[in-house]
Amino acid sequence: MMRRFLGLMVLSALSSPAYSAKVMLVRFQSDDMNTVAEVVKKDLKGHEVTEFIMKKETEYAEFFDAFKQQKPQLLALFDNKAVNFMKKMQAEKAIPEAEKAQAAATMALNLRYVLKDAQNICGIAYEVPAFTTVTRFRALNKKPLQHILAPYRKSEFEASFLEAKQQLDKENIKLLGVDVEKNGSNPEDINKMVASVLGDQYEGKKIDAILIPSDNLILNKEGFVNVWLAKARELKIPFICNIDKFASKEFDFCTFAAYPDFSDLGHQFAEQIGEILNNNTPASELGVDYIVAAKASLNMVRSKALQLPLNEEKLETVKVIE
Amino acid sequence: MNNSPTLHGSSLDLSGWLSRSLLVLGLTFSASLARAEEKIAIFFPSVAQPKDIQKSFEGDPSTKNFKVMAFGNFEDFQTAMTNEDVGFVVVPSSYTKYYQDVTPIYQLTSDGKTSFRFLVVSLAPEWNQDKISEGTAGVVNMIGREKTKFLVEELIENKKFKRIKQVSKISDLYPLLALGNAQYAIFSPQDLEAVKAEFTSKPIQVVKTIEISYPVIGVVKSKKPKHGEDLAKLKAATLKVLGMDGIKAVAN
Repeated sequence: MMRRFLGLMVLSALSSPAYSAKVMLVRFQSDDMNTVAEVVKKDLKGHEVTEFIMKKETEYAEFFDAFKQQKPQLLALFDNKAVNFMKKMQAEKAIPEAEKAQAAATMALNLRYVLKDAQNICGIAYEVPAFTTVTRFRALNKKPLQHILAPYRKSEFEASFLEAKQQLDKENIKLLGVDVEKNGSNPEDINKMVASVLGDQYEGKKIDAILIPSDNLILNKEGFVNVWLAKARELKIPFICNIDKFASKEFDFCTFAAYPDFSDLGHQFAEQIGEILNNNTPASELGVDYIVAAKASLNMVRSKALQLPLNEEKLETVKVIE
Repeated sequence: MNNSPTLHGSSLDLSGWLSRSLLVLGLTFSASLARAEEKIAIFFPSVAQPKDIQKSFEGDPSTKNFKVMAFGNFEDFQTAMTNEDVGFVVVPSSYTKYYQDVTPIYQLTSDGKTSFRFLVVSLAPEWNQDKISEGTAGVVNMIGREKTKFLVEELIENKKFKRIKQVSKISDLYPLLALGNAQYAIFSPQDLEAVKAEFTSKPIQVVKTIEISYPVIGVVKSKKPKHGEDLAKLKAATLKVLGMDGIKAVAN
């Protein structure tokens, strides 16, 4: 009994961080970022967590002043703006602390690509990966999914497309990628390319769903209305995506959306930060992980229009929009 | 102020006194009802949805004196433990080892057995037993994030993963593995069967852990709750939602 008690005392001492580090969160004030930040702060109890709240007009100098003042051992970066500030600070090496500082990033677009040449920055990707979107949609459907059409920009997304393809190959689902910049990279060329490929067949294969890229160069203003929305309403194929609002009644665009669970993203992010602070793992060793936990929405109006045969018992795992 | 009704006083005085008296009676009655109803909080990571678990337990005559609350993740469960007056819990057996205020009183069983072994799986043959020290393992947060890490170390004898990554729900564990965030994942045999049915890629069994007891029903000692003996009569049909089918008293 005494040995057990002493053992548990040791375990509880070990569960506190060996030292208390200073972590500076660099973020905007938004509902989603607030959710993630609150979870991070709670999970990193034992460390000192401060915040630098950015606005749209915040300049690099303000960020650098905050860094010099607070001297954090680690920065937790939210959004591409914060990542860019960090990269600039590292490149300029104005003070020794700037050179040594490590960071973890999330809620930034195409983080793997953005960090490919960065030093000492790891992260959690923000976009729910194709594997998750497609397999969650598959779970809802009685009809098997074989071929998913996936327009994308090879120039920036080739690596992530190939990984997604490989992951879905193991699930016997073929991701058919179309490089929308094949005939040019200006919006007009991209829109023409997209219009020519969005259909119920591609290279002789029947398409079971179309995966929308979270890429604002492909979903440009002109293309979104005149091509994507128009095709989504014309074709008898579900459009699936990783942006919640696209499956909303207002947009009436996608049939299904898988989007970040922000509370769990907070836990995943805090865990990665904890790995650096508590286990002395360099950020450079951790890379960029996929976001794991996702919520999902099903636009029932679209689903009924497409006469999708649904697994009724799975409907409770999604937000049904009617 | 004179609160007594008066014979010759206005009807307003009389109705005011009556209202106040009825209010006091009502409050006393509802307070006594609240005391009579014990709270039982259920957290057991599995593929079962919390609302199905809650419905199953609520439908059992043994829980007529209980308010049943079921949770899908450890954080929500622990919030309830902090904020609600929880008297009993249904939890992974290791919970009672790490949280001193909870003592197991009943052991759930499956097919007469009181324990099982978790399965460590991977999706690639090169991530086998020999490479465990180089790999990252995914596991569900079952008893708090820090304590789950210690639990994993206890479960795998003579080996230690390079890194542990935790998810809040079982349904996130296979994607963690399939996405490559981890090379190994730790499942109970019944959860692995459920997950295998959802995905085409087939996990490879790498190693089994040491034996660990099935979930337990515990009493929160500091709350001194009543009606614990009712829980011994939980039906097999009720426990089925947790993948269990029997219950026995824990010898203390």
